[in-house]
Amino acid sequence: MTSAIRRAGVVPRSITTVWILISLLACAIAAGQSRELAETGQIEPPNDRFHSVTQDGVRVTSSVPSSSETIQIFGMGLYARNIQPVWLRIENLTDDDFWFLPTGVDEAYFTPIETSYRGQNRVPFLDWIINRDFHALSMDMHIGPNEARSGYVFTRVDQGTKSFNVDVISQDEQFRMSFFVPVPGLKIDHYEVAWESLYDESEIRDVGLDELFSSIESLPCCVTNKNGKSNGDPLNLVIVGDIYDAYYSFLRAGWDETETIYGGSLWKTLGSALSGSEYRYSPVSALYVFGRAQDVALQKARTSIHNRNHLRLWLTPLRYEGQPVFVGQISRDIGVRFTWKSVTTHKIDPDVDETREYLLEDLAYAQSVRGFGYTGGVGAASFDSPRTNLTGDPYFSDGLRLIIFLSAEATDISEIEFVDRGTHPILERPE
Amino acid sequence: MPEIILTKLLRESRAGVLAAGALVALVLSGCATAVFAPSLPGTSEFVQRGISQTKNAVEITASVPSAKEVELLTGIDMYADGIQPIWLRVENNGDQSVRVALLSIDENYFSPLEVAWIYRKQFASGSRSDMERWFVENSLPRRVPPGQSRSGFVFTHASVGTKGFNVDVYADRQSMNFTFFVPLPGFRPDYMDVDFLEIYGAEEVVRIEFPVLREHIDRAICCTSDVSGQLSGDPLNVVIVGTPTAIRRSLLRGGWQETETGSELTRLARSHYHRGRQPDGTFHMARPDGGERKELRLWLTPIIAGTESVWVGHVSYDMKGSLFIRELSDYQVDPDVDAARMFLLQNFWYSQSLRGFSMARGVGAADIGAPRKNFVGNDYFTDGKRVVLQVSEEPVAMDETEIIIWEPLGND
Repeated sequence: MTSAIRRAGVVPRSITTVWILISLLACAIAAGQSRELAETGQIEPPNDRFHSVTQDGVRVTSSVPSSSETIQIFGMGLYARNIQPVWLRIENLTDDDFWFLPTGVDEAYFTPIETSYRGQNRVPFLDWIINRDFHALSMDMHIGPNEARSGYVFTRVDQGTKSFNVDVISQDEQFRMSFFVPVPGLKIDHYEVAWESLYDESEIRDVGLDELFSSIESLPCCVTNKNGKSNGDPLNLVIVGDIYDAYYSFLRAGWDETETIYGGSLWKTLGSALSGSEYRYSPVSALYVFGRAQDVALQKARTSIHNRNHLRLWLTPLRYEGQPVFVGQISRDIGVRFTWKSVTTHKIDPDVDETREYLLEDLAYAQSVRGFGYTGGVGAASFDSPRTNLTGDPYFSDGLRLIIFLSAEATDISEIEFVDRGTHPILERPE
Repeated sequence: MPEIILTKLLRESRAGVLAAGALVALVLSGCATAVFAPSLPGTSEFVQRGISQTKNAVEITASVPSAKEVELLTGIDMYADGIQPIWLRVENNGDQSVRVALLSIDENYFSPLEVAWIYRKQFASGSRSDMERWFVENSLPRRVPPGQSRSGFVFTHASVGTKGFNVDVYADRQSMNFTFFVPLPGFRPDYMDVDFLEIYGAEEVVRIEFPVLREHIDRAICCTSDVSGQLSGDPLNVVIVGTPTAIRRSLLRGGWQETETGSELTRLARSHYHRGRQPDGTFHMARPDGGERKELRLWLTPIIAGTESVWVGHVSYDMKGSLFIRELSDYQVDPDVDAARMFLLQNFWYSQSLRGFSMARGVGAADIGAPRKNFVGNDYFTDGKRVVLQVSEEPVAMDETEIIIWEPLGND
């Protein structure tokens, strides 16, 4: 399908004849307007990595050109200037006006001429011909009824898998689509979990709210090493929500999958080369629950390159209101330290409750949380008698596990429900 | 105040590392009791400067210690590392627990032990855990039970001048949103020098309802001008409608920074006039990965739509990278002024400030192939429209933003 779009240039094959006519008509109308190039003169990325997502009324196709492909398209290197073009084609299959919001792709996206200016190494005088080309190749925000638009959004470079959202909004509806696009030439570490094969049908347990809380409380306290004999970081986090919503929520909050090493073949290769003391050698490593390495590993960069938050999730056999339940671990790097072999590793914030509460707010401000609550299950450790994780980092905790119920709809912080089961975090210090 | 004397002693005795370590231990424990003990409000000047606001049953008092005050308190120059602690006291007079969302104050706030880690080497190993404990114990707890209060520091990224920040407090299915503007000695944002009540006489004020706003902005406004009022400047491509509080909050939520009166940053902005005045307020936003920045210049209009003030402005991208390049040549403004306009729209939308928006007729179109020149000599091209942004004091979920499509006027 995707290659069909590319060859056909304009019209995807599977859409009905009626739509093709409408689409062609729309193109003809568009051609009469100022943005003639938007449909007729677009340069698509010279690759076959086209990805499409269709929702009721809108279809989005994307492709991310590699560094060398970018030079082919634009005649200059942009990756070196921290600019990564993302090609999008948005088809509006409705009678309403649509607005595409590039902020969803990257909140610090570049304008076409800003891109051109950076690409030209900030010459004193703007080259109008180059500017005009960049402008013509850029993506429009407005997509009229039954129109298709394509063009480039200029984003900051993401290493490895490029993950981004495409937000399209009409007067009455919001469409939010997530893309995970591997970019050749960079380290690819996207890893697809075979979700269906993790549990047999007979292992899945549909639970009500009471049983959900009690089942969560009885989950293991902590991650373990591979043989399951040593306990590591506390499992102080539970996410309840559809897998797609979970991915989308974390993406919206600025988390991504890049530069993570886990579970799959990459880790197996590395794991066989090293023995026993893996954690000392890998800043982001495999941790184990249910006898397997994490199903999802995400990271979020903060202000400094060394300061990132890492999150690992494991699917549990529990289902609540039909939605999967994940248990997880989150840590906050607060610096780099040297181990005994002078290999750098990250220093973890011992205040793991702080990091846990950070995640709640992080997802809440991404408008992804509909409720939250707490259970025990981790076990308390005081500031003066901390426990240690597998790398020997100390941590202290109130011993609680935070349960976050994700929302598929945008949910404001004033709409979040506190699912009060009588357990409150000790986030308090008497004045 | 013995801890201050000790801090001074400490500074003078830096040569002796061991002595310093011992003193720091004393200073830290001394400070902790002196500043965070129940007698706190009487003991520290910055706490006494605290500004209080009340929403429903929650009262928050906020104050921002200066660099010097932070150093007096802890012996650490946190401002030098871009860390600005703010002190908050949250009093919960309601009947259920409330939570403070630290992320609302600074989305990249530093955790207490993250700050402690940065300074671990300044202290002898024996006093390091005392310092870590100080940071944990004196940070603001998130949860405040009913009928109680909590106080402590939140470690934010340092900003220049007035510290503007939001504090969201939430409980079960409700939230209270506070915005603080805490002035710091030595900084005066440009809009503070404008006496807004004196700009327009009572006879000049135009009172209308929002639906007819378009006719008024259509008619009255085109572009900025030079000081003489003769030469045409930049297109006024933005109209913002809201209470003054809503506008400040929206800019703040969106990450815009104030500028100081007479700042070199606003030299170009100040050459632009509207209604015979330089901008009433100028705001900037730097790119996270470079020196380029967006600039927003705002003027108050005499129009009052319903109960809300109406502002008109120009937003653009300055693409000059570093200050070094700025030395070599003047500003390099992106001629695609519509791109900046669309950025501002999304900026308000994604930061939950936007109640509604619409597009209105503006300066008239200028094609990319035949750009217009402003009096400075910068080119611009545009579809000729301007965006009308209705901003809200309280956060608005993105799907609640109303998209208003105005029918074309007869003369369009």
